[in-house]
Amino acid sequence: MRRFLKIQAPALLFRAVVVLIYAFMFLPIAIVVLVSLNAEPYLTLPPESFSLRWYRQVFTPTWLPPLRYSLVIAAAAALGSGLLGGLGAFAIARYKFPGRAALQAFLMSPLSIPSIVTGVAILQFATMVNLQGMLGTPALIVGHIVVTLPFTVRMIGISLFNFDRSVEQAAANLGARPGQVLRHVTLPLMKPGIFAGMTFAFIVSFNNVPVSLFLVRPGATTLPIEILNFLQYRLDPTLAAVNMVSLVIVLALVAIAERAGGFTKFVYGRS
Amino acid sequence: MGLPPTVFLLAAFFLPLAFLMVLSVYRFDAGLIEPDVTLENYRKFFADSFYLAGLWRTVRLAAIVSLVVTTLSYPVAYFLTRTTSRFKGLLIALVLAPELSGVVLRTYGWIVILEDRGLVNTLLLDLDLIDRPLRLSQSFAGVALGLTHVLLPFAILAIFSTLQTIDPVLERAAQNLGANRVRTFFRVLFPLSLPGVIGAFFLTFTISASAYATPAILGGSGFHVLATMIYQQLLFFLNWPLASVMSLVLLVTVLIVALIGNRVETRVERALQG
Amino acid sequence: MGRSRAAVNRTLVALVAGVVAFGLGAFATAQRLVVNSYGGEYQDLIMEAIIEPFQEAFGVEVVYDAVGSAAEDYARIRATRGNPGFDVVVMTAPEALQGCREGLLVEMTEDEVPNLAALNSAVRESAGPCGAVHELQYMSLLYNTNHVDPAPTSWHDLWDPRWEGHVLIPDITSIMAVYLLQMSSLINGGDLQNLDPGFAALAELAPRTVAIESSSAVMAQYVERDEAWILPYWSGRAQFYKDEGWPVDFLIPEEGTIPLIATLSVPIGAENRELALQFVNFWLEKEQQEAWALAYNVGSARSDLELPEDFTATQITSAEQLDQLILPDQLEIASRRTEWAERWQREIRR
Repeated sequence: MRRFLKIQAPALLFRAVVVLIYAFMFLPIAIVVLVSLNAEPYLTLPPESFSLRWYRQVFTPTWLPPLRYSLVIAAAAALGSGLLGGLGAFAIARYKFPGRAALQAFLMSPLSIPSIVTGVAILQFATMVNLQGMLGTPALIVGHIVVTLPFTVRMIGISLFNFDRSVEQAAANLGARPGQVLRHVTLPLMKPGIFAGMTFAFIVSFNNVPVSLFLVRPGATTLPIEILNFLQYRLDPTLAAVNMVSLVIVLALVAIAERAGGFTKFVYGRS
Repeated sequence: MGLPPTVFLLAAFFLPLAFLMVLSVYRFDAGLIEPDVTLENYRKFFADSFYLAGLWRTVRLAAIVSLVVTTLSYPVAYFLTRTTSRFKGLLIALVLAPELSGVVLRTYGWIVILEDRGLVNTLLLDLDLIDRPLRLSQSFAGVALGLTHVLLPFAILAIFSTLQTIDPVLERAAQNLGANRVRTFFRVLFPLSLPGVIGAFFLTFTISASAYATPAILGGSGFHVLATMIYQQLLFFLNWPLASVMSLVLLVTVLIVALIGNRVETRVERALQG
Repeated sequence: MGRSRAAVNRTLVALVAGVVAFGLGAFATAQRLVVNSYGGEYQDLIMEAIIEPFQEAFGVEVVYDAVGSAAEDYARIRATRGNPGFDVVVMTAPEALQGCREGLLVEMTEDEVPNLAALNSAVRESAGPCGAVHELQYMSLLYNTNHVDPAPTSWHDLWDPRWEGHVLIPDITSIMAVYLLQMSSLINGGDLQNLDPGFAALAELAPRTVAIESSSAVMAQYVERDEAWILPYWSGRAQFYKDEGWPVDFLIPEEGTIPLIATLSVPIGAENRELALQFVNFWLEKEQQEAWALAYNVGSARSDLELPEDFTATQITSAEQLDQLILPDQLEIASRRTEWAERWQREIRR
């Protein structure tokens, strides 16, 4: 028994730490869930009675179009950001050129400014160059790519760090053409980073308020903006329900993408 | 290869930003922005302990949060790498949950937990561990906790994606050569995952330095970091020249930290490859 | 199977026809007026009381844009130099005045908006030529009837030591804080310009508050959770919570009070300027003012409205009530707000 403990204690401790961190991550969400199931229209805790009435409110013309719009914008932003960020990260990681550090800092810079500044700046610029017609979907996608680019650059960059260049070398030595090396060796190695980066880009875009606030067009708003509009007048459990529904939808999307070969389908022969 | 993102960012971010930042040298007088060139706004920022304190608070907050977040993230990332659970995909997806819970409700959840009559204080009072409520909400600690919570997903996945790229053969080899698990971890795995750790640290530093919503809601009206001050100037006090100065100060501060980070990264990289 | 498919086809045809008709309709009434205001229940009320009647009366389509608070709307107007993509915007007097100074909003005349002539002239002047006053609320004293008994009578009651830890005051990002600062000066020997006594009094009060909050929705939560017992609050919303059955009441303290002046403005670059001005005028009609007053529990700058007596007792509706309002110089507020805000952030701390 003692021997068992001696071997198992670090492992048990480790497990406990992980469980605690997961609990910490879910604590505030548990409260949102409770609020969304509360039968009363007030945010009282703990709820006295439970009901699904707020969830019925979600599936109405108030919330569904903004939800769909947010998903479309986020998907477009994640794609654009994944592509541009991938190129950027690749350039930083693979080519030794002067100003590499500067390029990295440059690509990360949208993250170092509160995004409301980005939103106001893009709106002002669009007016100056007479591109106001782009406000709405095109401007939103561009604005969201700007604020999500640092995530794809970072995440893909990180996955390229430990990249064992000799694998590529070996493939080339075995007669693979550069295109084949890229497709069969390099890209698969980058995949976890690309996936992580695009997932974050999607989520950051999906949640964005400050940029969207200045770039949406009247009549078509994103979900967080719609929530904010609603909030100016009252905080009611509908918002919690809206939140839970969108959380489940996005998590499901991520899980599906992960199944289809995300972070873990991996090169070292394991899945 | 670096060209497309560079061009994109120049046109869609830098040019627009430059036209806004120009305001930092315009005179602000009684609510109006006058196009006379002046350094008055810079003087105002750097000569005033109120704004400088905001800058210092921003840096301190970002440093503490990113340190805590990176530390907490490692065990989870390691767990996700090594687990053989068939729910692995789900466990990874769940890591993203804090990010998805919507800033307003998430922070509302925190207020319920942290306020004077909230869960934590009620519990501690009932257990007689304290005799008056701790000031958890509307405080530095509350903001740090809230930010730690939102930033965990970024750091966990950053570290996780590096751990994924480490060939498990290396670990087995070390163990076959007689190293125990702990030793293997510190001698083999940890050094190889350092790029991810450093990346996670600087990513979370940057995000927390420019975060607005969490400090604004959990810090309350008396809590000022650069991001909250920029918001207030842009929206309520309409001093866009001063907002521009503060944005530039924030940008430069983060840039300096990023360049230090880059140095560290390059060294680690060289050490690992050399 | 065949039948259900036919049904599906019929539905599809109907749907396509509907979309085409809708498209053509939108084309026929090429004028789409974009009105920017607030969301949530406010949106339901404004649709019913103002926008739907306007669409019927003028045969035009109104696009309702709920994006943004008044401050955010103003930032959009400023960033686009008066061309923010909406034709009419609901803000408050300080923004309307600031927009006028910056040349971003249309100056409205009685020729274009005849109903301006029906508004109380002092209130109208206080909002400047770019803001048509469509709604007034008192800054009232809201209190919890279970705890604060007997009812308060004066602004001084906020400083009553019995309410220590249960007083709530607004943050300087809210215009309510500016007005509270001015009232606090007024009752402590200062005036609307010299705010030293107000700063001193609020600095003393701040540590005894339960919170200093910027959003009125969040302020209401403190009341709901029984944490705030006495606070300044807009009378229209105060009435709403009282009607909801909360144990609260509100009153105008004996020293009088400053009103929240809500205004309609038209950005200088509005695409449908004329129609926008017609919309402003429509909202100022007697009938619409009455409908809006009742819908949103607010007062009006018109004194000729016919409203139920219990309503007129608590909201700004009569000539007498309008004359008793304390009206600060909004221009001074617009130009000194930054200065006061900086001082507030240093001196008023919990």
